[in-house]
Amino acid sequence: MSAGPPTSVRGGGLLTAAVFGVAAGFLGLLGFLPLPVGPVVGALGVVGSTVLRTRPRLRPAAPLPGLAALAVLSLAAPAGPSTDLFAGATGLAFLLWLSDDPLRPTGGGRRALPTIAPAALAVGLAWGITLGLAGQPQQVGLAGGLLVAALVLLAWLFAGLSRPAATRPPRAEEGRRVRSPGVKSGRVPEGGGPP
Amino acid sequence: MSAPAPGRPTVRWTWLAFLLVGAGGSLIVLAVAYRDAVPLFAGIPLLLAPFLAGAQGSLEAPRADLVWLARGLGPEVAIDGVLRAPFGRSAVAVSVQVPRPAGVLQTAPPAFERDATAIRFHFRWRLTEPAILTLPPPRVLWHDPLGLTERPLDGERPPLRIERYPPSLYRLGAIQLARTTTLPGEIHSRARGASGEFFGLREAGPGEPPRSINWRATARAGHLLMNEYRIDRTGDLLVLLDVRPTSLGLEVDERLLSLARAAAYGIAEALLRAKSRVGFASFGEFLTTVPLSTGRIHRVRLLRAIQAARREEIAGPAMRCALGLRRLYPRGVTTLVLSAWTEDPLFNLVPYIQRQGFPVVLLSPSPLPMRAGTGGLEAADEPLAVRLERLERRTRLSELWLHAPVVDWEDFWTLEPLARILRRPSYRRAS
Repeated sequence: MSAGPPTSVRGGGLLTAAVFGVAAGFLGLLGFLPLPVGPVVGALGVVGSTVLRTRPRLRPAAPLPGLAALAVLSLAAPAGPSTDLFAGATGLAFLLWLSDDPLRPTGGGRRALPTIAPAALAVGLAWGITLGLAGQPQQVGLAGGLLVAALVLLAWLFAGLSRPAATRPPRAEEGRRVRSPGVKSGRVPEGGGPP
Repeated sequence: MSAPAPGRPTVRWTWLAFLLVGAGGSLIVLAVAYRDAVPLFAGIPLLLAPFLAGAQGSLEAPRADLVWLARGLGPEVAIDGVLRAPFGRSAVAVSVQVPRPAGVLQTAPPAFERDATAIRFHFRWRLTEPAILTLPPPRVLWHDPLGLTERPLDGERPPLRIERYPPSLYRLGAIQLARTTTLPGEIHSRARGASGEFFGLREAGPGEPPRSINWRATARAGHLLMNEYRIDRTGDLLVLLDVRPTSLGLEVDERLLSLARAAAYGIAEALLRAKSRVGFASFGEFLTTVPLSTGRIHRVRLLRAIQAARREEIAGPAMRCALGLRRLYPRGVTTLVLSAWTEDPLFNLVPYIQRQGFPVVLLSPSPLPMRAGTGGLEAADEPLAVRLERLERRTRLSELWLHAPVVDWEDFWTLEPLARILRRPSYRRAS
């Protein structure tokens, strides 16, 4: 039995769903898919994820439609500065939507800023580098991949090495000794013992 | 993730974190394979988020110490706790998971109050029957806002013991048990009564018998005063718990045993409070005993032994139990046997124990309330089935009245019938 703050302090997650939907729709518009198909795929992903989140039994599978839509739209988009940026923005919008789950008391878009902001910085940095590198798409991809690998390595090290700031070392054992229970265990033979 | 240092809780990834890393990694692999940077940009946030969430957990999760207690009377259990830590803004990210034991109903939704330094929680439960429960320390977890990671918070969190037994047992200490010590007055009770050694004077309340009024003192003081005496406690009680398996099945056996444990501890505690000597024995295949004694340390000793009593798979012969008691306890000690008594009379311990010189009182928790409604009968047939079962049980128990008084314990929240039997001096029937 666990609980957190009441869920009514946040909205129903509709605002972040709308942000995710708009970002996915724009990414669909920019892709190779025919005009209505791209935005429809994005909208279906967002709506599917949001609806699944409200069903208790299907709740664990809620992120899957959104992730699938994101993957399809990003694979169908041509390489270019604007599509790169919208793909990153759609990934960030997905994280924002993920954080704003009204049924998860420990969630919240504002609380997620320390997680989403560095990811947004990474996307911005990668986008800036691709703008600066005027080269072939494969070179850009390799550069971006190396950049991400370096960032992940840094994040890994940061997560592993940083110590909790507000913790203190465990105190020594306290309390007084309690005498042993002194429970006797006797086995009486079948024929009985001496009287 | 690196291996955790001993004693330092680490951040754990949920399945969603693995999903995001998998999806992000796949997008990056596809980006490199197709020489297309767009999936790579979509994958960067997904790949980074679990690591960043874990880093946030390492920074935010403080050490949290818990103080909690259980209040309430009878079946009502109110658990109030305070989890203290410098939470700051991360108090909303902490969840407290208190497992609700079997047989406990929730009467109100749990309430949580959070501020920067503490999380206060209140649970309202109702026990279906008397029990001694030990709640394990609650799990206190920090969660990141995306649901990607969680981290158990370190801190001192003791287990919580809940003891609930019939309220009538609180008055059991005033009962005079059969004398088993050589000299009267050897052990003084804390209880005050109408006979024994003179202790002092006190104000007389309404309904006091006139014989107990000290008329000379009343004349001096100008208001009614009565004599108070210190009861000589010379009786001992041995509580014998039958932990042999019955034909009722594991689940009912466990519930009956839990009930018997609560009664045994309640009875022992009531008598220890009055400085009586109390011993405990449990009999399954073999006999496990705690010798007769009194005092606070003995109370802890008894509690541990009673809590350790578990249903055993093999039933030992009743004679083994009786001979073991004869060897380990003085003859004549009042013996309270707690057993379900569902088998044939030969299975019963009573005649064997009584033949060894122990006056026996039987307390038999009835399985009927636990089995009600489990037979798949229609609602109209259920009362008839219960009635027939009750008749059958009474017939079976009536055979035991030849040897000792029997309390058919069906209303689990009172033990007044047992107290009535113990108050009678005629219950001693040892041959």
